[in-house]
Amino acid sequence: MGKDQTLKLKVNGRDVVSNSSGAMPLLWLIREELLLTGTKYGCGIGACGACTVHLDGVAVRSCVTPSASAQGREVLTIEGLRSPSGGPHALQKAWQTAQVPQCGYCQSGMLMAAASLLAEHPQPTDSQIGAAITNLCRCGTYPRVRSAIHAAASALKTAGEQA
Amino acid sequence: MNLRRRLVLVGGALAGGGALFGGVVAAFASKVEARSANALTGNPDDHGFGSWLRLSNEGLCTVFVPHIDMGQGTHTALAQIVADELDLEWAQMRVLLAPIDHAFANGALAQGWLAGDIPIPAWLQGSSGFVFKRIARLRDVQISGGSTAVRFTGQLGLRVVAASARLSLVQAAARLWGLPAEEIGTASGCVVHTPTRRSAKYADLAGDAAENGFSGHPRLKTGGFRLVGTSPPRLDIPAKLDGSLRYGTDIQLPNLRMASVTAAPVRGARLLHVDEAPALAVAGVEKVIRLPDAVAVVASGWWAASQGLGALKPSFGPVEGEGAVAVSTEALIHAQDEAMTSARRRTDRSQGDVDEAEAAALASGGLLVKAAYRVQMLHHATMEPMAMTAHWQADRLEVWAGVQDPLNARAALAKAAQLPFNAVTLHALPIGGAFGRRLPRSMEPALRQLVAVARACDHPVKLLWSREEDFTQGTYRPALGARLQAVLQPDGTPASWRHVYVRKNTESDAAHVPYNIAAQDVQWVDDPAESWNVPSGAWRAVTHVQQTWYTECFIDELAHAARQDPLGYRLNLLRPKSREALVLMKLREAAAWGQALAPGVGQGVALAHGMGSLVALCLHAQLDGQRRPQVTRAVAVVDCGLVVHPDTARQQVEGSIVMGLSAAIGEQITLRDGAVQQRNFTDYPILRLSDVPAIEVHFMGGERVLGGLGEPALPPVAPALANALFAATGQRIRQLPLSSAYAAA
Repeated sequence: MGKDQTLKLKVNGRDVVSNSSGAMPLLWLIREELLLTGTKYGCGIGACGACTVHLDGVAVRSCVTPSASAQGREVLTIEGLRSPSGGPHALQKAWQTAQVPQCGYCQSGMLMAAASLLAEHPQPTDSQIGAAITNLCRCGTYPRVRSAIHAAASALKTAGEQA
Repeated sequence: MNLRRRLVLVGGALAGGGALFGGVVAAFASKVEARSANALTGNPDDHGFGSWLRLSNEGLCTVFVPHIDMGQGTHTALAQIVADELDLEWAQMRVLLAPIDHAFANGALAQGWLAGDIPIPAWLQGSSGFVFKRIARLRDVQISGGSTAVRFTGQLGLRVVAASARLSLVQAAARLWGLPAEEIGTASGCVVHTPTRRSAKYADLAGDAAENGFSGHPRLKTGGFRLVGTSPPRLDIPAKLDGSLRYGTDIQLPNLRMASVTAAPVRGARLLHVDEAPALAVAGVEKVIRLPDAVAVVASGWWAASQGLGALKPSFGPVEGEGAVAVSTEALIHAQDEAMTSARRRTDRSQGDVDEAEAAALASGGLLVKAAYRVQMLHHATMEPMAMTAHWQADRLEVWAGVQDPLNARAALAKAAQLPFNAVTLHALPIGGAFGRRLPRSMEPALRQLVAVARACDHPVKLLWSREEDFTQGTYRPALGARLQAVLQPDGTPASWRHVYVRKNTESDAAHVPYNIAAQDVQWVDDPAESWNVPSGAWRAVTHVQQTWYTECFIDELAHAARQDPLGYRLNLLRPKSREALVLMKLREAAAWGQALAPGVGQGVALAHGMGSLVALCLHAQLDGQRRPQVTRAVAVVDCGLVVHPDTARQQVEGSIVMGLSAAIGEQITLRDGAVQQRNFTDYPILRLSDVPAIEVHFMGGERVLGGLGEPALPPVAPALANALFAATGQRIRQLPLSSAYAAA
């Protein structure tokens, strides 16, 4: 795709059209054009995960994902994270119960990474969680992130739902 | 009397004599300030009590908190304290950040230090016009730091204000009903007279109560707490789960422009030259701004701004000024080592005759033990990089930013802009982590930079530092060191203790060991790098981090030299039933100290005091296949006295342990020719989820108000880990971070 071609994609179910450079990372389209600021800038090199969103259901680090690569695809951000029934996602409920966040800045990315993990591994082991959640948290919420993912997985199993 | 004991007395005095503090706090909520507070917080139908509480006609109570909640849960905990003292239901409570005005300055915080006759810590000092030199100025703070919110603002401030409000409501009911106040009680937001079955909502009495009396000497409750000690869900969490919380980096304004900046890699160097053309050629770039020590690019979006900035090749001049040295880490360490053996040493604390004790012990077959320890430079690495927005219009400046002391930041902005205080509006926003990075002294250069950029722009502009800028322009925990020496008597007991440490212009009681060693000589020497443009600042738990590293490693070395169990050795040097001994005994039980562990795994212990609290920590650790430290279990025992919100308290301890492990295992900032070499998380590895064990936290409990919790669990982490790894490997490491030390060993 050329630099000035129109970019068409879906974000949280809405059709989006952008004329920005396709080389611009998806993060800045999400934050500065769509004003969905729940997705955060943390490092700009895909190292911290604060910018994690889903591209066609899979977690990607939007700060190193050229927006052109989202052409014709579906992007989900924290603002669009829901359970299939439309209420809060099982992970958001588990996060509330476990009171996971401290400063909260990394938590959108944590939740999106965890949602992608549960979609792939509905009952993840500790080592699967460790391998999938490489997001950085400076406040040290990791033990609660881990237990909340297990809690959400159990809740989904009990309810017979998919993440 | 040492400082630690004074801290205890602050709590002790409060437990029996709330009225003493009531007078002080009431003075802080004078009529003038209450009027100003009323004007600032709006609704004329509400009724203000002091500047901190408002009761609405709908029965809601709003608490105006002068602390930024950075996720430490202070807003929730402070609302609990008020609800209990004022007999309100949790559903009636609301919390708002207090307006950034002198009427809401956090006097009780400063009072906490004053009451204990404790010097104002250096990390609070030295900020634009708000220097803590005179008591009269102590009120000009709205700081979140020093683990002070709950113990000072809450227990010395809001609790007394809430009790006063309750008393004045009771007195208003007594006047209305013509009944003795002593027969009138309160419950669930109502004033009640049980014998006559009369009851009135606070809201119906609040007008009369607020008008007619605000007692500075209320009787504080001594029991019957319904909310304090429980863990209602934190008020700040829901907005952190759906992306709706707006941090400094998220602010949106009409016509907002974005700016990216790069400052001289060496502090103190000036911008000599920059060709603006390559940046202006980038689509979206509008302007290149030359600052004295930096260059900024303004664009329609941040990506364009950073692309433009990346295209520039600014040249910065050499560091100028007396004593300016473009220092490297190795040279800094060398200079400190030299200073520690020089005549520049000064006495911090001395007891007994150390020379005599050493000679006597050595003559009777004692053992001389010496060790030198170092700590590395550390970056805060907050997940939210520096992000601030400003709009300069004629003679007004409006700013949106996350800072740890909004009142001080507003003053710093006014000074930088050369505007009157009242011409500056500051909107304090939630912060994505601070850990000391956003305290006044550390924020000032960034605020000056923001003002300079805003002055050059016709539109509001958001200045977002790249992560590289955040890493290289930090205010780091300095690299420091210490030398310790002890002589053990034949039974292994230390006869003497010598301790020389490099001091970074900081007063602290952190170097004082709790152990009963009759002859002690603790000395400090000023950091020779103080005048070398090496940037430094307060980092979570400040001096306690390094001092606990020195002393708790060394006491462990003494225990091993004496061939004694490290935990038992410490206990033998503590007064039985002292707080320290009780905490260690509880840890021994909770961690099953001494149990058989898997091969290759060692257990380590450390005991730390700080911010009025005590923390004993046991870690189990080993080296993995790459000789990288791996922690398999963490058990902490905390004595902070009264725990207001147990879950948040536990969370602060968990977070401190994780941050402490991260710093001890892998973090290090190094300088080459004056410039910071680390630029992003790839060369400054902070701990990940898979590195972190389950963490158990136990509280000693009790009714007394003793200490803070935002920091004190961090200092014991590095020594407990090094002690555990020594137990596992037989190899003693005395410098940080441990991963590179073990890799090199």
